[in-house]
Amino acid sequence: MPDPGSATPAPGGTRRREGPGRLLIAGYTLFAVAAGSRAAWQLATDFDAAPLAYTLSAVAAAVYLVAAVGFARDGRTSHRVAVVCCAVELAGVLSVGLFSLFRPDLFPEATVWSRFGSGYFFVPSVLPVLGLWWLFRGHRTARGPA
Amino acid sequence: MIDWLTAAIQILALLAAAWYLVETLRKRPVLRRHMIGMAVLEAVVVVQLVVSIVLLLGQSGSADTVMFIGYLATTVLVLPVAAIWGSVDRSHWGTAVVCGACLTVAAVLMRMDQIWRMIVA
Repeated sequence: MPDPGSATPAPGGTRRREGPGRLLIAGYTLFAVAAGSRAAWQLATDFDAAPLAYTLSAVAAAVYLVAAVGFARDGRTSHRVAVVCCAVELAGVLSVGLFSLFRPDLFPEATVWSRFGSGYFFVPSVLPVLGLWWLFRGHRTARGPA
Repeated sequence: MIDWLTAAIQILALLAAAWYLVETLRKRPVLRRHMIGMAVLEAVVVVQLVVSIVLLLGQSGSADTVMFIGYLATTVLVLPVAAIWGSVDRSHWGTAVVCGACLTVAAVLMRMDQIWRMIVA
């Protein structure tokens, strides 16, 4: 009987912190700080200019932060939290990306998700895809034979 | 901002990022030589910090100035944070985080340059 120590994969997602997971935690933390401080500043200084865009940036920052925690923590719930966050981000960056192209009047000021995150070298589009890949890859290995 | 200095730091940061990427692919953890590389990059970033502060003294403060200072602080802090991360995380993914930090420095400098043009305009 193997010792259920730290080397044993946690249920529902194997060692999300390990390997590329660490890079994802770093990336998500960076984006939470970057988007969050920018949003806080914009909301504080000129909320009236683009309330929707600025609020959305703040929401995006919160999602990045929760995702980073989800990646960093063990357990099935954290795995679900991370999956939901990545899915929300992917939906957000795709829909806001499309809206910013076809209905730019809705987003007069840039958000972190505008034009698929082009202001941030498209990292906002890439992060959730990498995140979901990592989460489900971990899931498969956890269930498969050792 | 001094254009050539900013460009030089960006090129240095991108070269460093490429090196750390290669070292990540070779599965190297953060080693002494990587720390020296980060220290060199951090040194020029601190030069940029001093130059920027001196240049800012000649400008009247505005909302853009606050944002500029925020980004300036980011460039100075991101490499030490990555260095700590790399010394704790002894896998090659620590090196990947350092690579990301170098890319962040290059990207944030680009954004700072845009804001600087708004400040002096």
